Amino acid sequence: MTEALMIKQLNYRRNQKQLLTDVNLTLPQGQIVGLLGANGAGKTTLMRLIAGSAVNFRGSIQVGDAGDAVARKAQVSFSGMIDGFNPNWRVGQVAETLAELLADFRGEDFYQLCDLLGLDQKQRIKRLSKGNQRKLRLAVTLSRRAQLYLLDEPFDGIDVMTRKAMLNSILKWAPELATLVISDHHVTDIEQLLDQVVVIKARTIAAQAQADDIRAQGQSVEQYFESFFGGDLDD
Amino acid sequence: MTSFKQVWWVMAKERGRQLTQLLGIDLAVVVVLIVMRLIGRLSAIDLVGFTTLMALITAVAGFVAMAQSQEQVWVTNRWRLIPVANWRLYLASTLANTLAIVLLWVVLGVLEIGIATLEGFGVDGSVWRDLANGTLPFLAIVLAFTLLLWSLISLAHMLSLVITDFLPGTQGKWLRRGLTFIIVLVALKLVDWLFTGMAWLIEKLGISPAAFTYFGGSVMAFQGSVVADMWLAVGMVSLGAVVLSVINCYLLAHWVETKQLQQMA
Repeated sequence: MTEALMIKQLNYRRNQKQLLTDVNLTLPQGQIVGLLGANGAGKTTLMRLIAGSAVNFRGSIQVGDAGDAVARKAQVSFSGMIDGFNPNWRVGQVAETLAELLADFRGEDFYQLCDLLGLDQKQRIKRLSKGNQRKLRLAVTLSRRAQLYLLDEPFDGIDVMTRKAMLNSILKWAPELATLVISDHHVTDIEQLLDQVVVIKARTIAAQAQADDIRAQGQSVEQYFESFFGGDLDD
Repeated sequence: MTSFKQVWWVMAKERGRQLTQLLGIDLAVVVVLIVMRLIGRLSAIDLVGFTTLMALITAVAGFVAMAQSQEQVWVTNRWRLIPVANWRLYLASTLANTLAIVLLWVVLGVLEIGIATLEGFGVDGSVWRDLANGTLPFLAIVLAFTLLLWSLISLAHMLSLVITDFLPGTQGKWLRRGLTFIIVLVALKLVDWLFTGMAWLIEKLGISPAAFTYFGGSVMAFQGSVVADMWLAVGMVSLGAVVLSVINCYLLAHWVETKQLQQMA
């Protein structure tokens, strides 16, 4: 089976601080993976490195067959892509521009996702509520035909109904062979979605396990995750 | 992969839109001035003077707006996550800026010439002779200097980002501001060295220093003796812009990362 993501000996340092140390991680195709960790553990940093937002690292990151940064960007759809759009723009304008810039961006999918999530395409970005801004992130990310999707804390601060709508769209829109990595520290939100769990602790990968194996041991994913922290989730 | 043309086209449209807004403000003021002239509140010379001043302000504002847009490209995911090589992204941004600013200058120029002609400060044969001789290379020098300044701004910005990444994260914003100030000083020193180098080259190549100035260029152009030197000057300033751009592309590819924004929600 081709690997969706292969990271070897990844080290990343910034502001005189080691942010990731000796990260080794391999993810297969077609799985939904929970990247779980406490605040400041390095989840967002790891996603930024995979996506290509952060560049100055040691080690190697490969997405599918793509090793160099440009090829990797063509294979990864990151929820941070929306950062940098003019807040005065309307939702529809964002999609139009991305469709011009990204060969794999499906405008039709975006509009259908907007309908599914109840997102008004004529609304200006700055006028969107917190929940709707999260939905926009999700819609933009899932509208690409990528090998690897990176969703960075998509449900943070989102109410239950919005969360359900977003979870449904993830299940419906994630391409079968694609791998989805969802980072979160509220495990209950995503527990039922996950095929695999990766725990990041103290700036490195602390564990990687199949969700079914965890459940077979009589544990919930949340209990499994919490066992690494002993109740203290501030890293 | 995204092609250079796709990136350039989207950038050019956005920058064009930005400058159209500035042009709209300029036109609104010009219309008010024309109305004042029609009702006799403004003399012909005042109309031409004020519209020229507005055109200059608009051109400077356009330069600043383009620089700002360019700097945002280097640090936002929106642009940096497009699957295109960094040097292509840099080139696309610079060319989009160039096209937009040149179009702005052309529109402002046509407007100014139109108003001046209507007010009897007409364009006679000498202007076209100037255009063929001194004015064209002069405009090319202005454009080359504009490119040089944009690349210098990018260099100062990128260096401040790279150096900040090496400093402890706990340092406050004042340290970063101080650092930016020092980088600007260093950048200005770099320009000083660049010009010293150019002066040395000018002397060695026997180029008239008048080639760098409109007055000198224009006057001497009538004598038909300095135009070639002016084009050489254009080449040298452009070379400076290219050298800085190569450094910027290197920094962009290996060191400059996007801002980690607080999630917008």
